[in-house]
Amino acid sequence: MIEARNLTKQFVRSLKKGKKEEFYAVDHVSFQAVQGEILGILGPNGAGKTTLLRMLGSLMEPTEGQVVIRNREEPVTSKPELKKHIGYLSENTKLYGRFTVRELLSLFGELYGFTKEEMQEQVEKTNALLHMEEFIDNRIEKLSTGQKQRTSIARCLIHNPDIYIFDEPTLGLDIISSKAIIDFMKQEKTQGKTVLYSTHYMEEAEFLCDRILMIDKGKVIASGTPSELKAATGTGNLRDTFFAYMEGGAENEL
Amino acid sequence: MNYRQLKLLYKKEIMDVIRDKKTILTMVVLPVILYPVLFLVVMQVVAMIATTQQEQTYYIAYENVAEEDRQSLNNWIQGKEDKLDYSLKEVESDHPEADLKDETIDAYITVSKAAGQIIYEIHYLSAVTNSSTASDMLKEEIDALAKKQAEKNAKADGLDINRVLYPVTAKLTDRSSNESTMGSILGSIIPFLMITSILMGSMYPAIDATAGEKERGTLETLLTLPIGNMELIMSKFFSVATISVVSVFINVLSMSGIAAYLYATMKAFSAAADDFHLASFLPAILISIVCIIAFALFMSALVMCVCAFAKSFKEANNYVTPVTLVVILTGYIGFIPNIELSFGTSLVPVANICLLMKNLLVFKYDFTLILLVLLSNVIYAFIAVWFLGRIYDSETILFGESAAGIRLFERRKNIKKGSLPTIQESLLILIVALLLMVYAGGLMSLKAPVMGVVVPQFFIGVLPVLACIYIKGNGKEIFKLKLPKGRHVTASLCLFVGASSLALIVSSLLGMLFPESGQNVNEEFLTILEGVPFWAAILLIALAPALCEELLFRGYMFTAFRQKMSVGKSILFVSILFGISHMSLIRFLPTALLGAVLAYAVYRSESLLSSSIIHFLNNAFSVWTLYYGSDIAILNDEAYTGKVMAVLAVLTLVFLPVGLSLLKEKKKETDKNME
Repeated sequence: MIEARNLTKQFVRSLKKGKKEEFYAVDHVSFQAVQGEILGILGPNGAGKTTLLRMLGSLMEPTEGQVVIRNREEPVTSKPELKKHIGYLSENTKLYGRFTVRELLSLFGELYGFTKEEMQEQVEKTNALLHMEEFIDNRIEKLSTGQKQRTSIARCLIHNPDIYIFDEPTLGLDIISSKAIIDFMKQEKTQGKTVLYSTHYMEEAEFLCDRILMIDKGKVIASGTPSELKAATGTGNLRDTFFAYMEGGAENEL
Repeated sequence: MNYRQLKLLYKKEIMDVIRDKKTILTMVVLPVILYPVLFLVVMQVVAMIATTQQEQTYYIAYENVAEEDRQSLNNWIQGKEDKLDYSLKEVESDHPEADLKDETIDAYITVSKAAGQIIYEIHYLSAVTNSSTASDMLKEEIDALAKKQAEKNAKADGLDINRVLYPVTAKLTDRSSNESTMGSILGSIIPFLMITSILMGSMYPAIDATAGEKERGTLETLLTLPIGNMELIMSKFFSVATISVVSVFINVLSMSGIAAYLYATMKAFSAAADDFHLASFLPAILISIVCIIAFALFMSALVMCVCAFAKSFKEANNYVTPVTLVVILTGYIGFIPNIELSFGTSLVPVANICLLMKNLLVFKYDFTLILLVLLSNVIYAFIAVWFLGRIYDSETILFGESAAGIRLFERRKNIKKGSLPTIQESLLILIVALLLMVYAGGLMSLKAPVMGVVVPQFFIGVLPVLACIYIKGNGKEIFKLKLPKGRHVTASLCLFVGASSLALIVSSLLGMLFPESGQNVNEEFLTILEGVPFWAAILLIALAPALCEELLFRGYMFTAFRQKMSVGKSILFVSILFGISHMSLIRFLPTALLGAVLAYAVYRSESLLSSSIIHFLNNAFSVWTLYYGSDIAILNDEAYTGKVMAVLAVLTLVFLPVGLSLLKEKKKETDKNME
């Protein structure tokens, strides 16, 4: 289980004439995601989704609040320990093109603390799982988009994490490549893993997510299962639900 | 620090960089191929020039020279046994003067006679290379002839030749070893090549490891790993440093190869090589290598710091260009004869390495200075690494949007209309203007000292205007081209009196503390202005800076700083840069103070003219005191110094506040109007 406690990120925006302004990209967000659950995080551009996920993945330091992972007896809160439990994938996590897939996977695994021998075994397992035989010893820059995508997935599961954070993983991918990722998420869910997943594709979110968190302007404006949210707004599909909440947010502001 | 992770990351960085073709090209191919090729080309050109000079025939004519004198000189020239291959050939010429001008002959000779003396007059053109060479040869030949005749005459008269002709004579003996002669020749060029190669060697890996990583989108991937900031930076730093050190070694090897080749050819052709011991350079080379490694560490960290701000290769290249310019131009210091390694220069980055190597190559070992150079480079490297750590700690720099840098290297069509200047651009312009000031100004001042002041002013004025055009800026907005209000003009007049008095007090006080430097400034100006009429001096020393310097400092630069900083900080930085750019320690404080007042005037009046007025009057007043100050007894009588200072103090205290409040009042009114 991963828990966000009051997560807050404040940025300083530079205005003209050397003036500065502080604003909340993420404004006191709290939630939990349990094992075997896919939690969708939806919101318009600039809502703070990426910042929230970066804090959850310990890529960014929260201004306030804390991330806790509680799968074993001792809760995990320290930055390097949290990272060991998390597999993070976003459109910005590109791969080192000048390495072969095998080199990259062993390097990352060893950086997670595994020994060379353990990694050899693990790479073979991953290879079998994701069917990478034909390109595992090629340089990544030479791979096709689909092969790169599979390598990315391999990269984020190489240390066998409990929690996956996927920030718009299917953005700009064709149907086959995005299916690979969606299938992977479903499969990991059955293994009892937690998946945090942000996307702009409402249909994808609707059939995939167990629960959904709607955020806007850094704040959680709604949360619940897709059917709960649809019922609450009286809409037929998640796309309309999303619009209903966004318009509501705009009304609230007025 | 987790050493296992550090090792893994280091290995990763090295592999990543080595697999990049560009690095291999700049690191290995360039020094290994380019230097020898360059060297061979230079050798060939030199050899070619030498042969053409040797095989050259120079044509000489005689005008109205008696047959007897012509014969005797001609026989001497032709009959003399010398090893030179060149020949002086006599040709007939009816109009030797015209032929000389047409360059069909290289020189002609006329003869006049005095008691017991024949005077051969050689007519030549000093501006024509062949002609001046021919004249030198003729002079040499005739001197030799004269010597021979004199000896003959003395002998005929039964005189002691040495006592009569050469009672005193000078003989030159070069006591410097072959090695140190060689060292002094190499002393300026080798450090320069070293510094450039280190810079080039560290540049690509540094960009690749910082901006390149961001551009390829792998930085965020790296940040998902459980590694600390420290491991991340150190691995990057060590790998870039390793590569630049390796490139140093490759460079040294390549240069040694050339040296060995030279040595071998020298040995084959001349006996002097027997006295030449390459081994005596060994300690110099070893010490140099140690210091160079420290320097490479510093350079790597510095370049990485600059590149870490960039988001892409291209952007990083833009950021690095000014650094490259400064480093390379500082590297030229080895070519300047009078600058030596001292306590002061041993602390100046880049320059210290150049000067140290220059010293080492002529076997000057001052171990205190060597240690200082080594230490200062290590300390600079530490500071740069620490700074790099700060950058990698900053999420805004890691994840933030890229800031507008220097667009002067960008394609113009990509620049938005109405762009505003950036701080980096204004600094680049200042650096270029200052360098032009040193190099072009120095060159011009050889022709006329006053040109050395005027030409750089021209650049200072023109560069920001060109930059403004290039970035498609709105000139009116950037340079505050607006007529000032009447009140602002009054304010400017008051500020002139107040600020100039203040600057005068400060300079006099500094002049008392450092009497020599104070004296020098005035003397410098007097030599510059020698022979320049008063009105011209006013134009050149007062009007030109009041326009040009204002365009750069209070125009482009101030506008650039105001985009990012508050008024106070902008005024502070622009004034400091204004003070520094006058390149004189003693003038720094008064100029910076004046600069602050000028900037404030522009800020309040929003018109560049109001600062131009102050600047013009201030400089015009200085020119006036230089020309007519000596006529006024009070200024030159030391008894009155106190009183003059008191008057200046009163002027400052009265006019400065009045001027400032005149500027301020206006602002309040507009505020009220706005309400």
